[in-house]
Amino acid sequence: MPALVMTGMVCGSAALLLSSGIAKAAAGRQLSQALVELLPALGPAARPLVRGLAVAETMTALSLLVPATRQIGAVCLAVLGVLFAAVGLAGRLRGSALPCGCFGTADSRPFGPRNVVAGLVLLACAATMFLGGPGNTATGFAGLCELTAALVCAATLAVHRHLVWDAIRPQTAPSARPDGVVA
Amino acid sequence: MNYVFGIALLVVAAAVVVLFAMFGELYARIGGAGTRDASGGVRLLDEARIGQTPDTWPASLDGFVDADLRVLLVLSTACGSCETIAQQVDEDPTLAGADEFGVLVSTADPLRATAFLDQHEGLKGLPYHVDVGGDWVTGELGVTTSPTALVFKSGRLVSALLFSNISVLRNAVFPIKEPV
Amino acid sequence: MNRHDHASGGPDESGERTNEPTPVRTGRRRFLGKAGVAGLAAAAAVFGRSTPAFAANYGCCNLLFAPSHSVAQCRTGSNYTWTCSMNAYLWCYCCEHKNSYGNYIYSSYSCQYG
Repeated sequence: MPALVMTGMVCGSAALLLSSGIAKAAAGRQLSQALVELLPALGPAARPLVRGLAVAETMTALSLLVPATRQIGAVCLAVLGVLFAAVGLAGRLRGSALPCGCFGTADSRPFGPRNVVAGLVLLACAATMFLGGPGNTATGFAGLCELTAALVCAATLAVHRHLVWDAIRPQTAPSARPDGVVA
Repeated sequence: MNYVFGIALLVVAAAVVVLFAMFGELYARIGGAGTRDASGGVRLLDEARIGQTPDTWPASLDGFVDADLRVLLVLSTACGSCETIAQQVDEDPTLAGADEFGVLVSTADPLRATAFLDQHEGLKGLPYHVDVGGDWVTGELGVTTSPTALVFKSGRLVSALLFSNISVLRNAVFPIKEPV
Repeated sequence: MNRHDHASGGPDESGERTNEPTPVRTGRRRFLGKAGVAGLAAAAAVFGRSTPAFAANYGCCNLLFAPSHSVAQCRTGSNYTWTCSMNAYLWCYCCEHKNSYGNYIYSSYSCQYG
């Protein structure tokens, strides 16, 4: 496995998990509601479950960046990938309708095929990282952190692009027709 | 030193995520662009057939046919946000008996519409029509969204607006005339 | 920290068991319990049957029934579909599906950015 590809996998996976985990910790209400819709029996346990998931994702992301813990991180990544795929499949089968809130946003799609695909992709990355060994990256720990931080920022801007556009678009007053009707 | 810088960058990135996540949740709760819109939450509805004059009118809304300027509030029993509009109508004493407004309640279930109107007496003070299945407003004007305000001039649809506040809508449609 | 100083539930210095549980064992038990609950929840989510929820607001939709089908299914055949807006971001499609006798039999909704 070329070092550059491995670097991309490590940083990409870590950035995805960090964006997702930290967003869940900060704004996990939507995901809690979506999980309760999927499994009503969860009830009040949904919120702590979301927090636990946020911690798991964050710790997995950090362990991927450290060569010594990368293989453990890969195992955890595989478990998360299977979990995401399972939830996506369950959501698809049950016709989930509430926004997933997987990245803390209320305008996301419900649990479905996207989650399944994301889970499988993470599973594949995990397998590659586990088999590729801990040291096979194009840069060391510091470089991985820097690249991951950049990817996290880019991912955050992409997830919240509507918010960003709303903040920066030019504000125009509505033009009123001579008869006073707004058009 | 490089390690410290790398970790510091990660911390900054994490802070960015937290900031956006919290801001995004707050933004979604307070209504997003509707509150920042210069028109105060009134937006154009693209789906309506602007320029259309309905072939037929419900009997209770026949005052719209020849009137200079009328606004038809399109609400639905399936629309939770329409409850808010109905409450605003209830709470605005200047709307009761106002000639310029009418109400259309689209519904799947006539009994639900009756209950909705009984719950909001302010709506019954205006000309109103229960549109079962939304057949009339969808068939004649292409509207399937609520809460919507349809603006008619002499029976012709000149504007269709999505709104969340009846006072803001009123000010947008009926300009405030300055005293001479 | 000396475990025996804070021991409760493990054997004391004489080797005899006390009745109070050790903090370490209790912590491990709690963690495993929570992991088990999470695993069961995940398994139930995948394999369990859906339980009917009460009909209430879903997004901005007031539905006749708790949603049970996709909007695409609901919109086949005779149906009443309406759109409501939650805010500038979010729109919800609210659907009520009729059977061949004209009775509404199930509801559905989906919300999305629009």
